[in-house]
Amino acid sequence: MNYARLGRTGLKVSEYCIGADNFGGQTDEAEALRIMGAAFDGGVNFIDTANSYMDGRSEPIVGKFIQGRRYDVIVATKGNSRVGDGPNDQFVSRKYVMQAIDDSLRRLNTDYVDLYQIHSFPPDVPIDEFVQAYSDVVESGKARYIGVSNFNGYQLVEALWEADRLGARRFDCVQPKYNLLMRDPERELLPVCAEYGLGVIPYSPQAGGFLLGKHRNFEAEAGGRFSDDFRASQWYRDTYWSEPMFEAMENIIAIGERYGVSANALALRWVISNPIVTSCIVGARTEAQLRSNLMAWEEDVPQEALDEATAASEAVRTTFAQV
Amino acid sequence: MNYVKLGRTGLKVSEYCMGGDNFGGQMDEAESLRVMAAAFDGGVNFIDTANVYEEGRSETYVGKFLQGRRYDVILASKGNGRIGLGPNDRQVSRKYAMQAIDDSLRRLNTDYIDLYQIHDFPLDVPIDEFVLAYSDIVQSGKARYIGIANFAAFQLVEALWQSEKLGARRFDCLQSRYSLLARDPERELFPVCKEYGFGVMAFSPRAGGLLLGQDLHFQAEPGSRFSPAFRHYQSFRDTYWSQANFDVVEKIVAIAKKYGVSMNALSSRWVISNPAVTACIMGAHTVEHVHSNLAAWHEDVPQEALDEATAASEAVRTTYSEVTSTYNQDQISAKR
Repeated sequence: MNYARLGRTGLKVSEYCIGADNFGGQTDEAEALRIMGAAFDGGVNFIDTANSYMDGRSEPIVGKFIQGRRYDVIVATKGNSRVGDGPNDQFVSRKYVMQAIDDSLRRLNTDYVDLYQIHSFPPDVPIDEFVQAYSDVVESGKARYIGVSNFNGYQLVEALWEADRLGARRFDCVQPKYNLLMRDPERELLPVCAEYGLGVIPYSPQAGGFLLGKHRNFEAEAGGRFSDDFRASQWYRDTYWSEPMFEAMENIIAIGERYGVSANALALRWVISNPIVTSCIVGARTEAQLRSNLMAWEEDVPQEALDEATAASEAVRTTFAQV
Repeated sequence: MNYVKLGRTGLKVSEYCMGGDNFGGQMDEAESLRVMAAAFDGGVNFIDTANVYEEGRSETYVGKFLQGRRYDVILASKGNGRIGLGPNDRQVSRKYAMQAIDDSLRRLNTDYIDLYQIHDFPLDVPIDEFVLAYSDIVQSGKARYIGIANFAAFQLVEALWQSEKLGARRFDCLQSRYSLLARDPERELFPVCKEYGFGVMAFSPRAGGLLLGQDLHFQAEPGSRFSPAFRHYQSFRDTYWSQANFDVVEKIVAIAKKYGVSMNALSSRWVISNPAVTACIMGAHTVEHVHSNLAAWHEDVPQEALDEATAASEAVRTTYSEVTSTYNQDQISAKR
């Protein structure tokens, strides 16, 4: 396992990061602990969760895993999502942030998180308010570093300049959705990260299993992210469930077969081989999936296969998400 | 003709802006002057040119037109393009900017430009350098306002913050390609312009004529922007010539027929009816074009026709243009 600096910071994280968004949902506590144990044994030191994952059940499971090895695990979590029915139960106002970080620390059973992120851009909060609040979370010792997720390029620049103007602690990491079928970050976000030295930790490198060939001809595999029992299945379908996406996916699968590499290895290596990418957040529903992910991670993938996959993805490269 | 404020500024411009990139190219001086006069008589007070258009001839002809009506014309020009073979003959370093503004003023035969723009994002110049250079051009009285063209949203924000940090005059206008076949600015640029009170000048509202139903299926009409006689025909072909675009245009042609409006009216109204857009830059290469453009400008276009055109364009809405940045050049392209 390689360890890379998170952007310009002094923190080193494994290039493989465990995505914990299914812990407490399709993955129960015992299986989740086995997954984290196996990943940790494979050299993975980086786990990403959020206050909203499975209504708060993901964080306590991660909290159990880190007991006895707290310093050796890089724990990332997030706030911003709706956590209740009240008017202040969504979006990182100063009030929300100060409550959310304490709630996350309690669930994680620790006194600090390594990376505390804003889950998405909060439309209802002035930028200086959330910049100062997150800065104060660092200054109070409750987080070591701060980051953002699902921001676009100009929103990130605004946050960085606001921190500069206020003399506040700045964001040092972004978490975008990025894979062969979702290359939108290449347009503005990744250039901004290169310019300002931010770490980049993409999620959904396998497009929710879509790039593994699990879902063919508009048929969702049972138990996967596109099946009705997954809480965000509609969100995945909105992004990938279209004729051009299926076509590009089939072309990419065929490239993997031609070069004798697994679809999993091709999808993961394509993401991490971008020099701007620090670490790749990979989910797993079962320990068996985690083990196959780690095997795929170590596979040799020829540069030609990556280049051909890049070319095949051009057909859907233009898909852009609304700001 | 409507006159609207250029973003948050106090300047009022006509919604129809005369594009000067063909003056001195497909149009000679006499025709250029007739074109400008016809537009001006139609209420157009806004002309956009650049130092690089037709090797400076565009500015020279615009300068002739201005004589005797200087205050009544809102004159926009730009620098940043290559103007010679030397190492400092492109990109708005302080050295280039100070020379380029003086050269433009000389060709335009005036002592100030109303809106002085950066033609593209300059890769090789630090942001504080071009922000201060353009600010100094305003302070020296050589320009009234400054703007940018072809910037990405994050580059625009960086430039604004840099001018705030330096206490410099800020950019107040963005010029961007925008049409039914190029809707990318809706994604990040228009939200940013709204947030910071920028004026928006949309160029290529008819996609170089494609949205008039011309030049379809890889057949360029003589004299068009897709024909080899036009100096930038290859870039128009690269940008627009695809089966997907032709399919969309044919749908839009059918919508125009159904509602009894011209393609010219439907395409240009669609652009100017976006509240983010201040003015629509309309080119021409004959005086007849200007007359037909102005007639189209005043046609009644029902909202339903605009809505159906919007829906038809969804098929190619996702097309995005590459951002000019060192990241893309050094890392993305190196990977491909």
